[in-house]
Amino acid sequence: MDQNCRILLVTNNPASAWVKAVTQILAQMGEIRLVWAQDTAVACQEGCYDIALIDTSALAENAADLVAELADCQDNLPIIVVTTSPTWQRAREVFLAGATDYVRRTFDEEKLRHLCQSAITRRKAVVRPNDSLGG
Amino acid sequence: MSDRTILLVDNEPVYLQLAQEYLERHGYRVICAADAVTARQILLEMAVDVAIIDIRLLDDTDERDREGLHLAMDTMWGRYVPKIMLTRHESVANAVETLRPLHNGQAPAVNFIMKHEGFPALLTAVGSALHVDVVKLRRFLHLHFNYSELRDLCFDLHVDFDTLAGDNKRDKVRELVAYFERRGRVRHLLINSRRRRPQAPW
Repeated sequence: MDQNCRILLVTNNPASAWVKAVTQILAQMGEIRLVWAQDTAVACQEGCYDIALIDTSALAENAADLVAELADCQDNLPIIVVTTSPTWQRAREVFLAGATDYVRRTFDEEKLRHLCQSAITRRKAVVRPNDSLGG
Repeated sequence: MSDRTILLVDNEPVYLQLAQEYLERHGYRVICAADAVTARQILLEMAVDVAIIDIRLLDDTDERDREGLHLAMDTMWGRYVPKIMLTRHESVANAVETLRPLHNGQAPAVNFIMKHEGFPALLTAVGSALHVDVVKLRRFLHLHFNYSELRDLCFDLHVDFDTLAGDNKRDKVRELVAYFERRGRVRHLLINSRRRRPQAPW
């Protein structure tokens, strides 16, 4: 398993049990950067990530807007939207904005790790190396 | 009359007829299919611009029926035809399966519409599916084609690569997209570039 991943976790609820648990679990995969939703754009400009997770709990912003902001900032960034109460309307919104996945919150360590790892692998599989005249 | 052709696939004859009439009133040419076999044949043989497919094509009362979704998945890698999945049954799982990119980054459909949202929502979705996002197209070409492949693409599309302004790939890609946009043929560029990279995410 890749242990040098750069993971961006967007949350307005950093003290929640889920965020604490997920931070611990994903710390085994690499470096995690926790940001408030309002700081997403800044975080995106400051770094390059292998995966982004958006925790929709306590989110005042529209999740789809955050997805669009991230997708716009970094090409082919896998973006997983995590929610406590999924709806088909939200699912449609976030996918149309560029999300890679839309899942119900889980504390299952194996599931979480698999979710992130497969999203990262998918990204690596589809990104072709650019040639030297990239410009 | 628009020169755009929509394939409408549903096993409900009444819905099929009403949707066809509505879309035709808005200028589209509509071809109807009541089952997946016929629809697959049409997708193979005709130049369809958008396909609207009901998720349940066998039995509307069977929640395991996903024939329409299978049809969308089976026909993902041929000629690029954006698909809009349609359903009467609310389900997060259906929305996710329809719109989630698969292992190679491509999603089975570009939109998911509930029948109760009405025909105007369907019409809007068709419009969005037909719209070519030139920024996205520019990024797609830049990311998935190298310099030499771009030259090939231009050759095949009868565009003189060397007359496109700029000397690096980024400039050439931008000018190529602009060239097709000026001629109102950017969709032609999209279809051709996606045909060459069927597994690249859009």
